[in-house]
Amino acid sequence: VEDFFGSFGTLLSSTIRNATPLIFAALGGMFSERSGVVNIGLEGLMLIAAFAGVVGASLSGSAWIGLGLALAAGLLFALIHALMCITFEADQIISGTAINLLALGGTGFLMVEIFGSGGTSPRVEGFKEVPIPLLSDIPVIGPALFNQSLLVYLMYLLIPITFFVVFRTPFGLRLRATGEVPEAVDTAGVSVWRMRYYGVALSGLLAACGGVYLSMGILSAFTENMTAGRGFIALAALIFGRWNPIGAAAAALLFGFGLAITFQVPQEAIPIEFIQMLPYILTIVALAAFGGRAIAPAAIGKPYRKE
Amino acid sequence: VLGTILFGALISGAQEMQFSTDVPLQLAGVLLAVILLLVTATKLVELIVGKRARALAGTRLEGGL
Repeated sequence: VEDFFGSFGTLLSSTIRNATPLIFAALGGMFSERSGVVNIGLEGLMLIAAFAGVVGASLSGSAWIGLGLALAAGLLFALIHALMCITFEADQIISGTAINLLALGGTGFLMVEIFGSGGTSPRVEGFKEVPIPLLSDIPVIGPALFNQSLLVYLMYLLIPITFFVVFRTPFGLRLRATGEVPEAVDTAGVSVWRMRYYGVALSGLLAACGGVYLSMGILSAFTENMTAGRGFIALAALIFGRWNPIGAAAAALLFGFGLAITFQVPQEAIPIEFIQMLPYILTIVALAAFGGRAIAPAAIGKPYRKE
Repeated sequence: VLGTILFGALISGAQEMQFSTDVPLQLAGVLLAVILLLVTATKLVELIVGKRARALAGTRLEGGL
């Protein structure tokens, strides 16, 4: 029994750790897509932020400066995506793909320039676990849920905050309306472009939190292409969760569980390559089963041109 | 088809470039991304083409055409 609870606690803790970057990115993607801008560049935004965080921490010796640099990098790349999609009316899918390519190539190139070699960066000061008094003493779930880094606690807070902002505030109402009927928003005197810029900028900041958690919350180092499709999984979680913060977080937890299980299953029983396929198979199955029923914001992917 | 040939040449040329000049392979990815960003931004192209056309028209007017 003790072994079972021990394994369950380890699996739960690993699920939370793997789901955290997905939840950050899915919440970010929700802001962007609710405003009507498809953001398949989440993968690239996470990657560039993961890299910038490590560079900042490596140069300054402080994880917080790393986080600041990561947020700045995520915001900058999100604004490039916004500029291309909103102002210059570029195809949003191609712009997102370009952001992903730019992040992948840029981080690979800068790795060599800054750290002298590709592959994995030197270890840096990361975010350490901070146990919450009393709550972390709860048997089994306490250490899994409440002995995590500060970014995980930020993620816990952001889920209800995002729900409140999107569904209970005038800003959220305008954002959702921009993604559904931009003409009506424009008629009401609210700038569609500005709302979309806000949505994409927020997606950059949140995806950056996810990226920096990967490189400085889990690993304390940057590895080339370390996001390994997590941005796309977050996008799938967003669709699976029907563009709702709570639904997206729940879906991200499921995908996080899929990622966590790859580290828990004994390799002698099933080939490792097969186990590593599991989260991606889960993503395809979930999207095939439920993705068709999800109704996207009506104006998503369509550039807005003022009449 | 021409576009894919260009991108194919860019990627395979990058490998050759890395062998012969030590310029990192990843730079091709960056270049590819920049090309994609600039090619898809229709309004940016309109802006540049429009400016050039206006400049050309101005030159012709100055020349008495």
